[in-house]
Amino acid sequence: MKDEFRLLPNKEYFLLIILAGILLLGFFLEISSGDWKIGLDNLFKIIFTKLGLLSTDIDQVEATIVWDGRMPRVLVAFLVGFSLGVAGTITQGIFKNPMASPGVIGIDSGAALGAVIAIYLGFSAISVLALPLCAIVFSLITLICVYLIATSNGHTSVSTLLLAGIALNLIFGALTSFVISLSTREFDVGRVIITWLMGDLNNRSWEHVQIVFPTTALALLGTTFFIKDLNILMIDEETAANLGVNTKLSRNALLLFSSIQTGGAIAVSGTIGFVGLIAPHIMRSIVGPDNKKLIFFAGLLGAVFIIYADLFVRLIVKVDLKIGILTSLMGGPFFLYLLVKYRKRFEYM
Amino acid sequence: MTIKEIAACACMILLIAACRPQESRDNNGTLSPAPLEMSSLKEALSYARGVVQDNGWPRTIKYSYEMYDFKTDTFSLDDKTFNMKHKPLRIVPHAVGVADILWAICPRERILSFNEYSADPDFSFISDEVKKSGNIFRSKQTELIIGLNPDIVFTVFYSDSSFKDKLKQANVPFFDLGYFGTISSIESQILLIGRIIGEEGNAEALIKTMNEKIAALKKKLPQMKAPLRVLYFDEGGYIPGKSSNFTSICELINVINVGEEKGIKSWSQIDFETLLKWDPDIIIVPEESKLKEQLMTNKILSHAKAVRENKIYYVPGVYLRVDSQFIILSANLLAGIVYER
Repeated sequence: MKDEFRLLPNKEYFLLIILAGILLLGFFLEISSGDWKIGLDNLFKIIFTKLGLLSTDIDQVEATIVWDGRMPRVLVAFLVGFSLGVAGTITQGIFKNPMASPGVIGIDSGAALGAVIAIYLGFSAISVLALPLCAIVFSLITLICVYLIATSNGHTSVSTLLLAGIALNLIFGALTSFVISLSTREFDVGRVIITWLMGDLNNRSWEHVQIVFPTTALALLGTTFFIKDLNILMIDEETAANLGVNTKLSRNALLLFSSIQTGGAIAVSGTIGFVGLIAPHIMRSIVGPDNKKLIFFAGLLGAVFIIYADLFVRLIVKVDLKIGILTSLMGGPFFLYLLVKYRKRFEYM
Repeated sequence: MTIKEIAACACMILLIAACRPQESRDNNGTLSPAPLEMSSLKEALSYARGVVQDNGWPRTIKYSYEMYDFKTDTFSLDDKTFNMKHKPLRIVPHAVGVADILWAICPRERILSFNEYSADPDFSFISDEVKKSGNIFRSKQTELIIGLNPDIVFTVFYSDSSFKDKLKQANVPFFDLGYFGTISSIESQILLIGRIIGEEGNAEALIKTMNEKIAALKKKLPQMKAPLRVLYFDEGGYIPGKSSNFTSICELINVINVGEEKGIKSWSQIDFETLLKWDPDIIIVPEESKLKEQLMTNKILSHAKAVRENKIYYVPGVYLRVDSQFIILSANLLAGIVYER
């Protein structure tokens, strides 16, 4: 027992060091790569000067490219991946299903519809903030709709939540298609919408970081208050209630935080699927089901996924493969693997 | 859901459809003084009459069919023949470019109906005239076209294949035109259309006018030590390359399309860092967008020459989408902009 207690933290520290190392390498590759060749010494000078750790003359063009171009892009990638990983962990915990992801209750589709409307109506051309804000507002509207549908006499049924999510996914999917079909008349607008729906981190700026950082940080902070409850909720709601957990409050709060994380992420990156499914699942098999640890590690793995997927589409493929397509190409087979693995369990349902 | 809620949802959908801002613009494009007077140039390109050459009917037309494959970015050339039993008097163009050409070389009473895009000022230079004619169909209204009982329908290589199939099933003769992206291909298509409709003289007259106008335009262009480098930046960061009509427009006014220079074939998406690296002298953006404001306020692009010198210009989309004789109007307008007349 003693050894086991000692080994577990060591294993997590080791995992943390590995993930941090992979992330740092990803950060470095993102910041050092691009069309504009910048020497390593200049790169570090720029970063340290911008962080206020160094006072030296730096090339202003290179500084702008690194600090206003590449840095926000990699930070957005990190925050989007982290958010999706955390949101996926919460959703899988609440629905007690390793195949659940934030998309199951329609949050993704709601955010996508909001963004598509913002592009179509021309709001996104007026301000860089318009599209993300529309996406976040629509994801919250979706959450409210799902809750109103699934709540009866003060009781919210988890299975009705799922079914309502499926229905809203279909409705919002149809409405998104409708807006796309309206936009095909204007070829340029249609192209922007489709590009956005495929997930894209091109030309991300500090404004995008300013949008996704608060949603990630606030929702993570909020989640930590209910993390113990999530662990208990995973056993079953009756037990949780007997143990003094306000199941309704905890579940609703956790779903709200999950929606904020997802809405914020999709708002700045477009639709990026499957990260919220894969990251928690892989990490659960390594660090176990305790959400106190899992949420953090799943977030880190989500960030690793997005940063490396972005590097792959940016530096290796170099054609019009979008990050959302790549994550779906990786996530689809993984989902099928889970389906085969758990099919016996589903046969009894 | 109650009936009220369903009605509210329906209203929301209709509101979204109705809210899209519909901008109206002047097709004559008086954005900046162009080398040639715009309205007289448009007039000259809109009506061409030459010597009547009736070579008799029926006729067999041999032609080269050039097709552009969007997927592989390659061109293919096929030799084909087309039989026309009698002079077509009832003609339907299925694409804007074909309608533009017919408008100039065909007696207008022979054009039965126009595609909806020909009535849209964002796509067509003859939208006002087409609207006045009132004979407009939607691209997918095949039944309407069949019902018109046309002698010939002009489609293009990218027209919907199901549309062509339906025409075939209804025994409606149609002629599928090839690639239209360059001045030479546009001229070939004009001659071909002229032969099919029995208006070879008018087609030759239009080409003569085009060549005269191109020569007049070129004559008025200033001599530069090095050609200006112009980049067309579209929504989403898309840039046209070699096989786009923008390259042809640039060639007409002795400037370089930066997209072509950098190896883009049809269209490709770039980021701001790449744009800064390419550093064009001038950036053209579609007027329907708010791209100028976005580019001018972008921190990375603050170092770009075009931004520093405030050389980002809006151009109405119709000038950038053109694939007919009116490409000379686009070149004329662009010349006025890039050479700052």
